[in-house]
Amino acid sequence: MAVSVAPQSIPGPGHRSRIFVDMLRVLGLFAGLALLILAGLMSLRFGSLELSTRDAWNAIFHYNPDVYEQTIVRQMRVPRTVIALVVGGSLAVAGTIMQGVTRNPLAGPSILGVSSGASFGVAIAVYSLGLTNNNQYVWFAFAGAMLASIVVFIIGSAGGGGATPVKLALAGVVISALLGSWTSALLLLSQETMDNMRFWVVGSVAGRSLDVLKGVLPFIIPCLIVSMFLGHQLNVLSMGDENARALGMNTSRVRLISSLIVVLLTGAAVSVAGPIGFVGLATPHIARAIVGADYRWVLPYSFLTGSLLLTTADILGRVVTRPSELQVGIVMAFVGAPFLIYLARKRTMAN
Amino acid sequence: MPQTNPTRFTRRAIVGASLAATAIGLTGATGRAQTPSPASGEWSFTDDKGVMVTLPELPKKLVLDVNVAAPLWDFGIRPTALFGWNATESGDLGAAGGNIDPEGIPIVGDTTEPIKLEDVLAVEPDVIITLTWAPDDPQDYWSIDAELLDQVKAIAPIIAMSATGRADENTERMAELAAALGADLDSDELTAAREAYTAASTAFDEKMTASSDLVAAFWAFDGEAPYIASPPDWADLNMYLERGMNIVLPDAAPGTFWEMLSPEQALKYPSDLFFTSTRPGSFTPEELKNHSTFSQHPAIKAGQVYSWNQDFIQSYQGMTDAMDAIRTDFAGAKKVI
Repeated sequence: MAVSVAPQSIPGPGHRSRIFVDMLRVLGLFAGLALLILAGLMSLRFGSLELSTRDAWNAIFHYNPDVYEQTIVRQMRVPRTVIALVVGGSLAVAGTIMQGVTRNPLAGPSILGVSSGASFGVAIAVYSLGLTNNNQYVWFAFAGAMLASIVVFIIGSAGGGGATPVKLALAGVVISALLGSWTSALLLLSQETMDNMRFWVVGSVAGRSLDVLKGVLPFIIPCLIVSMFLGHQLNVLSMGDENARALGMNTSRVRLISSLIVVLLTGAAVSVAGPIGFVGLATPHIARAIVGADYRWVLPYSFLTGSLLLTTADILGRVVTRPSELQVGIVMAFVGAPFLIYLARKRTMAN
Repeated sequence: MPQTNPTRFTRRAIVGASLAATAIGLTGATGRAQTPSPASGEWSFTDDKGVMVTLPELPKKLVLDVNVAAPLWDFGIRPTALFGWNATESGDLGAAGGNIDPEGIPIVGDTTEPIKLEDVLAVEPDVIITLTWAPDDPQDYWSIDAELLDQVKAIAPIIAMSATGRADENTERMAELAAALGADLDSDELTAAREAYTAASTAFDEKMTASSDLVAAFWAFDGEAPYIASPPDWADLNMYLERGMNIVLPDAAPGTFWEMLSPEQALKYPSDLFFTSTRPGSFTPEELKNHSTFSQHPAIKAGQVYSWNQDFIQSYQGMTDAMDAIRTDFAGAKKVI
């Protein structure tokens, strides 16, 4: 597989085949987009309640609020589908950036303490304010995620050498452990907090209103757009800090911007859906398996793959335990873990 | 407060059933067959598991689970200490506490740790009394984990009163236990309570006969997940069912207590009356009226949504309250399905 790290493609003997490969990649993006749309439609059509394609169609195009099946599609399935698409893609992109920045194939978006910060934020809010509704958690989760990652950055930047990947990761692990234990303490102190948080902690896209997503979209959309232009920097960074600096890159600045994007994307995603694992860790590997190691391609591909993965997992969770549902966080862990093992055994993890 | 999670019962039931099967398999027929009679002067009581507890004299120091303490309180029995899922350190016992005045009663186990062995030991109980949700399962004691059972039994014998079966029969059993513990069932107060209970029973039966066309369903909610109660597993619902109430029978195996659904399945079981659990974490009638799917349920649409106290109290007073409340709910309800 061709690993392209060159800033521009240089015309030469391989030029034609490179154009061909890039065309294939563009086609692949469109194919992925088509698959995503298909998954979205499936997500409207299939669920705990069995309904007809006509109902699903009418719910979108000729909505009649008196037909229960159409209400289900509109009120329950549209929000969770949109949320799954956005959250899945955001976590995947965040995971890809994180793996690129840290040059660590096992890095996930939560490595900077974001998820545990969000969980702690929610735990505090539920414990002290007695909140009971997922829709009320979002800003506490976001605040917790932000605060935790700021602390991680301060600790990770202390000492000589600035914020190196290893120091950041270590600080992240430490802060995650600390916040995790505080969260457990709160949950053990109060059964009520436990009961109210139990569902959020697993990670789910059900029962959230689109307003919750709208609240964090101003963070997600700019981050996603900027991240699509980070491919080149991540390619350079993947050659190692010294080479990157030799090529004239300000590695610290790239790291800082990338990490900021990771924190915002993950924080927003976790606030909406709770800490869903495996998407951020596994999707970059899937994307690389499809499209190679060039981050300019891996980033958009991982967005598509992440969206697709989470949406599919959510559909699966609705039909396997009918008439009840499994939360997508559980399905992800079930499906994600074996898949990652398979992937790890099949290919040497590219990076 | 505690078990907002209705699945706790389910899990307990499943684990309990398999443990019971193992235990019976290992030891063959156990327990119930041999019931030695106590020597004179001794105190004895055979509980709802068929276990006979024998003590040298009338037990005075009673450590009670809140769900047992509440009916016994109505019968005039006062606890030495309280424990259980429904106890809290602050002494707030919620709906399960009934008429108990928790002032000055030590709490020796609460929501986070339903029975605290050292605290129980400190009050030197003569007997420990709790409920059982699976009378046939020798390991199933409410608020006492199976792993702790031997240690608890080493402190004092345990009496388990049935929480399943039929609430009216359980109430009479509770009266027997109270009498055995020295309560005067013929006191003025209890005589009045029993008369009120008999009157409430009659009125209840009449109302049920008169409204046999109305369908009721009992629900609880946990986070996003709705649960519909399987009436035969609940002593109160089972009693209502056998006394003529037309209750929805969901698709649930015996001993599983619930059928777990998803919000999309809100209309799977239409009914005229919709009862929602009063336990914290469950949706209130107000919340249901604004729920994205349950607001479409015919009973909720018609405003016929009522409270179901899952921690009903198996005493004359408790049963009178429960039956009167149900009767009032039925009186205001009309056919909507």
